[in-house]
Amino acid sequence: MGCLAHRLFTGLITVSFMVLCVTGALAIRNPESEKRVDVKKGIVAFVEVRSAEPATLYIMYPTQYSKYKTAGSVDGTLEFRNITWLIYPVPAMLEDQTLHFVMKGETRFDVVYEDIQDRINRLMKGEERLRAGMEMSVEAGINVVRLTPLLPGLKIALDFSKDARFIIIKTIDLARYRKGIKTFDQLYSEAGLKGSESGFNFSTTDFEDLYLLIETPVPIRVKSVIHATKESAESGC
Amino acid sequence: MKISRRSLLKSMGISMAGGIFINGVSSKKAFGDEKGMPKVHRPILPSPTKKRVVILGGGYSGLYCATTLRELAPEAEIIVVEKYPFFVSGPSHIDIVAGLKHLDDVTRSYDPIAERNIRIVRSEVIGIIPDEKRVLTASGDLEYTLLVISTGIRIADEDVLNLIEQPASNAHAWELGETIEMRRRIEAFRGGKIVITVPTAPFKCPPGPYEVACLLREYFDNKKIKAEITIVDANDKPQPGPLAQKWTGVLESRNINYMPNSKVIEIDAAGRRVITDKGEKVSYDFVSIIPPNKAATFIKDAGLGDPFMDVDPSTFKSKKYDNIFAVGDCAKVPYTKSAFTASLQGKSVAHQVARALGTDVSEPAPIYNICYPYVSSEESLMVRADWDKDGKMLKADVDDPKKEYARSRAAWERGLLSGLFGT
Ligand SMILES: Cc1cc2nc3c(=O)[nH]c(=O)nc-3n(C[C@H](O)[C@H](O)[C@H](O)COP(=O)(O)OP(=O)(O)OC[C@H]3O[C@@H](n4cnc5c(N)ncnc54)[C@H](O)[C@@H]3O)c2cc1C
Repeated sequence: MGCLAHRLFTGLITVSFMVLCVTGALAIRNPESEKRVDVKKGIVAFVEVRSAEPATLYIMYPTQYSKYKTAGSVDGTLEFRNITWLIYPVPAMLEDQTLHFVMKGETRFDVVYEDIQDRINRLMKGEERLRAGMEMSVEAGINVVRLTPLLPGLKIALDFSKDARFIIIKTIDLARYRKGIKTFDQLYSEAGLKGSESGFNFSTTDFEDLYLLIETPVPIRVKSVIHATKESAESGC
Repeated sequence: MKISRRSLLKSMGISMAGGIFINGVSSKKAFGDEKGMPKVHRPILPSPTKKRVVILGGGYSGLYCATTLRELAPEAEIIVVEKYPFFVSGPSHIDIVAGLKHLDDVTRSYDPIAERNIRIVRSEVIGIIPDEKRVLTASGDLEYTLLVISTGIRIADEDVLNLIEQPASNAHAWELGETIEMRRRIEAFRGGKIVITVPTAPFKCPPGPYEVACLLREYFDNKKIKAEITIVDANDKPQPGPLAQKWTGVLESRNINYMPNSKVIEIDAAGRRVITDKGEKVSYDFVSIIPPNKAATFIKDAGLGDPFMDVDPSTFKSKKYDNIFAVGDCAKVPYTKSAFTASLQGKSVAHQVARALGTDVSEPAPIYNICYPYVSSEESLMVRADWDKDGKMLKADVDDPKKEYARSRAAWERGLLSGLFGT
């Protein structure tokens, strides 16, 4: 796996948002704990969710949202726990899409819209475009963070609020770790993507899910930012 | 990196010193011994006397490539290497598990293809040596001038802990044998929890798992059998992504539980439960794990791509070798992994191969997909997507479930089959 082991993280975030703001048609700054996002066919919305304190975010389709409203059920909804920041893409490739974002506590939502064709054209011309991002808080000890969905050619930047020992592994190694067949130390000695610092940049080479296993003596925040490239667009971005 | 016979066999875990048996043939016999390795081999057919196109895999993409090429390049020798004795239509796997069709409705003999002066060789491909323009099969070697790889996907059971050791615990509709077994288990099911697990995209027939869930709901309801159906999905939404909102409504209306972002990483067959990457344990009475979908390992071993073969989506040509192409589910292309696009890709690559043989042919038609996912045995959704010649998606459409789409689905698959077999 091609590894750009230098730290560009802060710069990357700034550049990402500049890019989004230039192309984005609309930015909503409306503090509330629920947000309905309507996306017209042909458009992709990038929903940015920010919360001062780690909280659980639920993302719901309209039928799920009505069930939540009537029965309080979040069954079947997409759940992100302990997050403080998220960028979630909502592409409306075939038809209009509506999603509801529900998060307890003081939350800020920003939505930036991009034309899908325009985005693909830019990617094909070689531009790099923000695809997804997440910041979450993790406990002291060894934590697992899934990096997904992945395609070949994505650029992933990881940033931790303090130095930590980490490895990036495939699903089967996660299963072996969970089962106690392999320890963190064993996996660390075998892993190609690893380190003991406060950040890491690398590019994906295939579609396989990757998991970040991160060992920290104190609770920290873990941030991941994923950029799409020409190569990822050619694989079906 | 150049792939030599020795490095290929090494990567396949075959020791030349010891030799192994493949289908009863010693590897020393099949590949020659180490000293004389590049020269000594056991050919299936004599070396080509004219331009030979070898197509690996006689599924939709391989056969549409072969039959189109026969028309475009009448002089070429065309060989299809296929491991099964007969053709099976992939989309009908769903109909078989749901009891809507039987095996003999969906299989075809390869004879009508062979009658078009296309040689069908029944053998299993186990390796490619690009630098020697040679394919290794379980029955011997085959030389080519141009090679088209169309072996579809391989079910990566090894990516789910314990699945290889406990194969009898699982049955799914993504392979023929498994499909038949799944149907048998459905008929024997007397009630309880059904768990269907979905791998991370890309996998073949993205709407398939949700269609299976809907058809099982209908089947068990009709039989008055109490079934609690749960889909454990590695993806953050039902697939394909653009259909997610529709699927969510369909699944809810059919009382099918849905767990997004939950990837099954282990099966505990004794405890009858699957374990997700989040550590959740989901109990079942009947499980259908669809393992990750990858291309055949010989593609990776030959350095042609991993987990799918690296090609230029407009020409289907390998990014490494000018005389190797790949189409259909095994290729890394932006097109949906479906029978419809596989057929069009097969036709399209035939044009590229004909050109590479020196024939002046027209521009192939761009790829599009049309698909009618079942929501019940009587109603289907409709999805259509169009790409330009470079694989960029141009437009896409979707429509709500309708009876007429279920009828279109049947006609659509018959059309694909009759294009190859006449019936
Ligand atoms: C449950 C299910 C439902 C589906 N529904 C639909 C649908 O509604 N619409 C749709 O368009 N598509 C559908 N599909 C998908 C469709 O069947 C596949 O995408 C399509 O068959 C791909 O064509 P292919 O030629 O690439 O591969 P395949 O059709 O898989 O053909 C590959 C061939 O290669 C052979 N082969 C593999 N390895 C070797 C080897 N080592 N040596 C020799 N031969 C080998 C195989 O035996 C096979 O004959 C469905 C699939 C499934 C499983």
